[in-house]
Amino acid sequence: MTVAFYIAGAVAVIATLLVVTRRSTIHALLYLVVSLFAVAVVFYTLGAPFVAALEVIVYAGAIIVLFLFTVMLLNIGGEAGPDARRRLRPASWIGPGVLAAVLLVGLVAIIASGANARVGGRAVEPREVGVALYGPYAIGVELASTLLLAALIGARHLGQRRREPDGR
Amino acid sequence: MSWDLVLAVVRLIVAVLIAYAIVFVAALVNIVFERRVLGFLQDRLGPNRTGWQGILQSVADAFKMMGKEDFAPTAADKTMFTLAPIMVMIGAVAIQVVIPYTKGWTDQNLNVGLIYIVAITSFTVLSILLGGWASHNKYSLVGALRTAAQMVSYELPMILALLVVAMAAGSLSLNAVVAAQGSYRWFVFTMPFTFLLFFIASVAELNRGPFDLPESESELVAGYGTEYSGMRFGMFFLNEYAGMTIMSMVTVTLFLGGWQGPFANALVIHGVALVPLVWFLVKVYALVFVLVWIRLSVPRLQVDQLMGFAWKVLIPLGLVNILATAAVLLWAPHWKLAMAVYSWLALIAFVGLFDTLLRWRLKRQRRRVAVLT
Amino acid sequence: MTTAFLTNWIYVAVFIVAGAAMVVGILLMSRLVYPIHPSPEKYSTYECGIEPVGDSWHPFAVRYHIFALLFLVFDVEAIFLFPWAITFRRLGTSGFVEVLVFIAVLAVGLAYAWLKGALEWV
Repeated sequence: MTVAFYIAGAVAVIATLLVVTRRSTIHALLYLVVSLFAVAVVFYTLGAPFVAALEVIVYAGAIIVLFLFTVMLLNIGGEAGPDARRRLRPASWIGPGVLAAVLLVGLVAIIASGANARVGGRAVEPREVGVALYGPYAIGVELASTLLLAALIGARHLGQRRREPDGR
Repeated sequence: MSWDLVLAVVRLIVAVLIAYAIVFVAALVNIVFERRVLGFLQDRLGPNRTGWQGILQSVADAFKMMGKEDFAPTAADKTMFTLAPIMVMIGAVAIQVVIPYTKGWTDQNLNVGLIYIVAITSFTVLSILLGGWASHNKYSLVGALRTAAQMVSYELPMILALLVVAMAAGSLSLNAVVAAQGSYRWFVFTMPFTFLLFFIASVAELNRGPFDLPESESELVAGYGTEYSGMRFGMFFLNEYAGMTIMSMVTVTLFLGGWQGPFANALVIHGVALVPLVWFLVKVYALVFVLVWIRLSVPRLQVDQLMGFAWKVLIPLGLVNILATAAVLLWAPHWKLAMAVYSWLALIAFVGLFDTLLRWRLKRQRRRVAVLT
Repeated sequence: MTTAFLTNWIYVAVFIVAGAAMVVGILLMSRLVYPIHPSPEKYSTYECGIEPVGDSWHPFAVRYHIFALLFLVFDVEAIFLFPWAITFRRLGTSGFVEVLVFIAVLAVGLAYAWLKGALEWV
């Protein structure tokens, strides 16, 4: 289990480094997916399966959709136009593929070693997360809501600025 | 290798095969079912030549589909173009991990079942976006974006309704949700308002009925599937029709008591009860019939009405519903009765006031336009 | 519990792989059957018989992006609410008040977006 933790951790660090150093957004996106899964495995090995599930669900669901929207609609990266096709050649899958394979080895190690040997003691149930979140960490929850409020206002302003050049 | 492990593997394989079978049979049955029901409701015949009463019609269509050339346009991104139909079917198969078809069926009891359903639904959005973008066609892209915007917007009221279900059941596992609806205290009776919110959102998630904007032919040709042909198109089509049954299965599990019904223990083979399976399927197909009925009865929404309905009506109502239900459950005496009373009153108020408010808004809008012109 | 949890996720993984395998199998099977008659016209992008003008991969209406952002915010909010929903009885009044504040803050955001017209589909 400890081995799996270190493998997943290393993959997460490498993938995240590659996310911020890639020049084309779609490559960065592929590495980001790997990085998110690696972090989920880290959470799992630390005894937080519920958080691991949420990590995969929120990120694979909502955030990757958002990134896809961004890549498709806004074409950040200055590679718009006919050049855009070249971003997706098969070779761009090799790097993320290798990292994902390493992660898979880590996962297999977890399954092979049996479930009870974890780094962070016992597994935390969703119910306990609820009690902790709304008990001692209530301030954190309220701060998160403020952060989300900021995101809402930001989203609205993003729309506002982009709409003005049309003359609306 | 121990005997238990072999048994577990066999069980897993059977589960996968059943999931396959449900996707295919549901899709093929639903296509004929919908066409026949539409025919019945419109006082005409519908397909009745292929096999007895036309039951083989969609089998014939499936074989025809296989014989069609399946190509990608030169401009398309080939990898993503193939990845999209694969992903769409992953969603249809994977969601069935958590569905308890009958008593004693699911030996895997996922304790994040409700969140899992939400996650798998967003898979479909992802694949539609990918497919539309990979086609490198303007109609596909606009169609995909519209579909994604619609599905994403209606996913929120659905999640908010799921939260109320989680509150009433006290767990995120679908088996616990079914167990909480024992002795005919189905959630559709005890919280009909939440059911209505969920049902409207689920129809929109299926891109059906009044919410079939992704398929508005006059504006978008064929939406995100414009460039797809042959079996790769077939996968999107299959998912759409299998989705009717799968979404109804989820709805039945969450609100209509799942597999529960009389004589639940009459016929049990290897711990899997067979009579509840019949109740489950009867409920599911009653809902599928309602889906077809709605599609026939209600005209298609306008795109701004569609988004407005999600963000200005369903989401605020969903948030208020969560708080109100929590308050009732926490403080009301006889909370079970109080919840039902609250939810029925909310339903009556919603249905009663909706039309009135809509008419009032329309009148106000007309007046404003009249002043401007 | 841990073993059960792992078994569950093995089920999920197998179902995901099985779903992909099914589609790949069907596509390969259909490849054996269907005819292939390539022609440049057939493989060109469909635009009602007219030559496509410009590229479809270009910056596009931003309103879709705003709805994706709004969705993200409310999705995260819902994720926060799920742990509360299954324990709200035990958390009682204090938990309810916390969630009330949590939802109220976001409701203010939604009202702001609404009044400023970010929810209008123009």
